[in-house]
Amino acid sequence: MTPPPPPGVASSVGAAASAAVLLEIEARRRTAAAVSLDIGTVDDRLRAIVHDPGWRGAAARAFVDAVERVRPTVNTAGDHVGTLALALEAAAARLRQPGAFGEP
Amino acid sequence: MSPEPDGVGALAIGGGGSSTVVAEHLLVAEHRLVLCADDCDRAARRLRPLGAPLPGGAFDATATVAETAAHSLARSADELARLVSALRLAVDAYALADSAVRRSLDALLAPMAGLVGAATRGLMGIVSAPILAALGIAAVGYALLPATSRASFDRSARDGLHHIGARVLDDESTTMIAGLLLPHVDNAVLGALGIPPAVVLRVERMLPSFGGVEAGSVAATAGVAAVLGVAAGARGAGPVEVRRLPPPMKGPPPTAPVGLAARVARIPDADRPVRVEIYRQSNGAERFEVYIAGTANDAPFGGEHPWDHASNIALIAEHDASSLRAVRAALADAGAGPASPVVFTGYSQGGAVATLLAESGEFATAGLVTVGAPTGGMPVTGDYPAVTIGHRDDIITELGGAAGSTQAVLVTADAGPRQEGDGLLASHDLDGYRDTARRADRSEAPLLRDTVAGLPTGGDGRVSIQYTARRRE
Repeated sequence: MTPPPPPGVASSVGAAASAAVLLEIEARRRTAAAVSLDIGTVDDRLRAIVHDPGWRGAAARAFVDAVERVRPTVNTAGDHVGTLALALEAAAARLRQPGAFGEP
Repeated sequence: MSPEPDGVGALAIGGGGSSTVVAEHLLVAEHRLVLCADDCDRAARRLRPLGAPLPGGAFDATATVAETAAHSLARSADELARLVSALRLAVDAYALADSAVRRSLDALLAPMAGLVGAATRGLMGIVSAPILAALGIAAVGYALLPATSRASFDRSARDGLHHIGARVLDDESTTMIAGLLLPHVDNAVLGALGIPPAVVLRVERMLPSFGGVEAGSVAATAGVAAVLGVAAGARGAGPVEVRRLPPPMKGPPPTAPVGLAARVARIPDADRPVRVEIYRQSNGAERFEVYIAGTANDAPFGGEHPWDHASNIALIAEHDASSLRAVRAALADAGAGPASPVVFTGYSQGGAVATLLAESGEFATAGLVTVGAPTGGMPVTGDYPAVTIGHRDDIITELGGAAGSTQAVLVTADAGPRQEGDGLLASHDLDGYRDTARRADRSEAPLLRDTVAGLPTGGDGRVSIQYTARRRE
């Protein structure tokens, strides 16, 4: 996801507040990156359950199917969070550029 | 399921307050699902604040993405929590059904055993004369055979019996049937002695327990056997003496074992049946690890070696068997007292000794590990980590009866495929149990993993002492 251009961050919030925005974006990026890693672990665990060779019988198959059905939702959420982390990183990079806050 | 590289198949795990064992993958799946549900829920909660608008309305789209992801994760967490509940319900239902079936079979078999005993007695009265006559004729025929033919006959008979024995004794079905029938042998014996089944059942109900031994249990059956054994001159509970073996020249001090396999690997052979290791803990106090051998199969019944079958009978009857006395004496010699932390590890007969001593209150039991032990009728009630490993097709483990409710974690596994040249009771081999212990150490099932982690570790290794034991005249 490409972050939308900041609509005149510096002019609308002022330099001090813009620095606060940058800090907030950095914090959000770190959170998103950490959550993205956690979701990767969740999918690894769900895949391990599905691929365990110990499941036998119709009831076990139904259970494994149910676990399998959860994975796309988790993975889509993981994709969203990964994209979010990238977008926030790009936004932070943009705000760090000289002149982003309106300084000379 | 394909076996593990070391030949051990899937584990089943139970105990910890119940008597039902459940396939390991169910417990691991449940644990993983719980972790997944928790992680998704936590991720959703962490993402929600990211949905708040940034000052100045900058980068609003990122807030929308965070909200969408948080919503998806919260939904996934709910769905995973529902799957956890469904799986737990299935496991509990299985445990309930298993317990109900066992109780029903026990209720059915108890009166039938008495009737079978009485019928056998009647039948023997009718057929014993013809059978004795046939045996006499066979013996005369055998004696008249030329020596070479007799040797050939002996060889064929021995191979045949070995073949049949290996097929029958190392079979999971035999183990299961033995587990069901053994608790009722006392009823059958009393029936065969001519006591009416109704009287046997009434007496059992009037005497609900004696010294912790339930009527109708394997311990009661073994008690009957022990009485008969003592009457026949057996000395399963005879006094013993132990002797320290000289320490190996310049051997390094022992390093503290970690987990199950490291302990099972240290179980000695029956010719030096007890090994005691002493470790000094960081607080300066000593802790003890004792390793106890299995039965010496070639020891004469009631003879000098206390690890014989006479001790086995006394142990299953939960008497002070000679082998148990020997371990107690070895621990006393090593300096262990009532306040000493002791971890007991034993194989087969040694496992029964370990369990009884761990439960005796004579030491500050710090852990218990048994493999291939007939301890079904010896529930663990103490507050210490205990793991009991048995093979599904090991009939020896069933000699102690079906496991009742116990605090020990029960681990069962297939012994792995038979190999060419395996002897009788191959499923009972200590080497096979060493593989299974390694497999159990790797288990992710929380009940087993946490219990193994609770076994004492560390300490400065002081000394490892090996003991021999002999029964006194």
